[in-house]
Amino acid sequence: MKHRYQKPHPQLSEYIRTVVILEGFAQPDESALPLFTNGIPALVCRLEKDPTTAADTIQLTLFGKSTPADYWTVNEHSLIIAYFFHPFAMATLFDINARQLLQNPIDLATWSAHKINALRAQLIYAATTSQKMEALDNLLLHQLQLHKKECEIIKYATDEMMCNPDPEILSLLRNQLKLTERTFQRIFKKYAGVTPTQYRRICQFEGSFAQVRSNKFDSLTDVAFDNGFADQSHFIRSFKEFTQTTPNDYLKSGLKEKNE
Amino acid sequence: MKEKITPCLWYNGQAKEAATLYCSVFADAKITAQSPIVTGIEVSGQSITLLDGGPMYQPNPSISFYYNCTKEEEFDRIWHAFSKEGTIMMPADKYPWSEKYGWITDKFGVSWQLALSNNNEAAQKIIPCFLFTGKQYGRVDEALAFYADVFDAAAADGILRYGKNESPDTEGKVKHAQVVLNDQKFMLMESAGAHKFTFSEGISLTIHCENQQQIDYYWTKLTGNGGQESMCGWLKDKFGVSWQIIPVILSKIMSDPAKAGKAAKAFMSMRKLNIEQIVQASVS
Repeated sequence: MKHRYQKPHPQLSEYIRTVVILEGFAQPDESALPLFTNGIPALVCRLEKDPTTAADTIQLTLFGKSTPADYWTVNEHSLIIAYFFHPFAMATLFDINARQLLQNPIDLATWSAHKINALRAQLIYAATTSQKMEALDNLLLHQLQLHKKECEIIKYATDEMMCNPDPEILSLLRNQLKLTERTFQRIFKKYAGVTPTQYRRICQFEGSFAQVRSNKFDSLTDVAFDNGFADQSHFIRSFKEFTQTTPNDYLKSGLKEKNE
Repeated sequence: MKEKITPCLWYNGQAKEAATLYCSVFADAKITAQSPIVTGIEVSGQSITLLDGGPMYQPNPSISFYYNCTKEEEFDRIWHAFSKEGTIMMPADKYPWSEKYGWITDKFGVSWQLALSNNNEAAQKIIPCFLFTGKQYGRVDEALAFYADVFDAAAADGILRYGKNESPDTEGKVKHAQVVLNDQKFMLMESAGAHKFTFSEGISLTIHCENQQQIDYYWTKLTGNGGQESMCGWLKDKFGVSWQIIPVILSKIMSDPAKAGKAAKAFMSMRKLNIEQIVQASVS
């Protein structure tokens, strides 16, 4: 088996992390499987050539969580082209509810049969692997054109909240994006799977937890203020909600572990 | 305008197998086109497209095909072949309208009404038959008027209506109507029974257009008054019947491996097809 990484199309680089191409050789070698599939949403295009009829079987699947390891097994007749997405990009580009994507893999032939049949025709007649990748790029570029507005909203909002999870960020974002509260809520919930408030609170907790873990603070009050909590009790409440323990207990048990 | 209208049957990987079966039992039938996604057959001069479209849609009896058998041997041969793994909807028997008639759904889900007809006139061998059920029940009169407006239509050949004691059907609703649209026969029926199927992409009708003006005409007319645009030249009319508005030149382009992929790239993002853009892309 041979695998290589490919840079995504420049217009897709904001949404696609990387593209991996797997081509089979005569002897399948499962041990050579690269470890890149952990938890990253992927569009996997699997082409199998029937050795007797030379007919192509094409399977296009969206994996919202991890792609099962056995899906990557290839033989001399297979070719896999996999697009790995940045967070939230897959739901937005394909206009699928984020929660639905987390439940089960989605066969794209059941998502938009007419488009996928047109794509299959392109893949079948594409002579080379790079032409096949071009055909898949075409679908993603077409989807981006259809959902550019939503893609930009989700990307901007999630990036901003990650950098600045203050409670005021939500109204600031709505103003910058020129969206009503209702519209912003609806779009965000659909493609990110959680409400903007929930997402902001996750970011806020993540920031505070990272700071606690790194020990870069003088007092827990500082951690609370550094991460935009109104006071220490808000911080403790958030910490308890996400970890089922208090910052103090966490620090103590952490220290205990270190001493042991 | 008398553009050709041909049926398109949707399969999930079995189009070639189905084409082989049909050509082995139908009279004067042959495979005329074969590509990875589309298989074309011709039965007594009538074209049928078999599309390997994937798992999203399945054929169902909402559009069936009335097949005129000229010999009893032909009837029996087809009936025997389709009854293997098929479903009998109405047993083969003598009915008021035919010496021998039966309604059978083959193992691929495509529904056929076989009828022995004694008249040797140059009858249309296969007639698409629309069955209005569920929410569409009671709309056949509206549909007759709608299709007569869209197509070059001859007057309905006579409409047979339900009588008083045909419950659950309502008196006056259309039991059977035959129309000629663009010189081709179609049947329309409605049934109040508890049918679990309605019109879908599983069986669609393709209108073959010579030019953009014709495409525009059919697209506008058929999506009008509550119809719905879909992708790649597909649409649904206001009754939910699926139509494909396709330029004649497309089948030639798609049978050329050097052009097919490029043309598919162009129409992947189209709703209504644009001939010029497809042709240009195919030679780029």
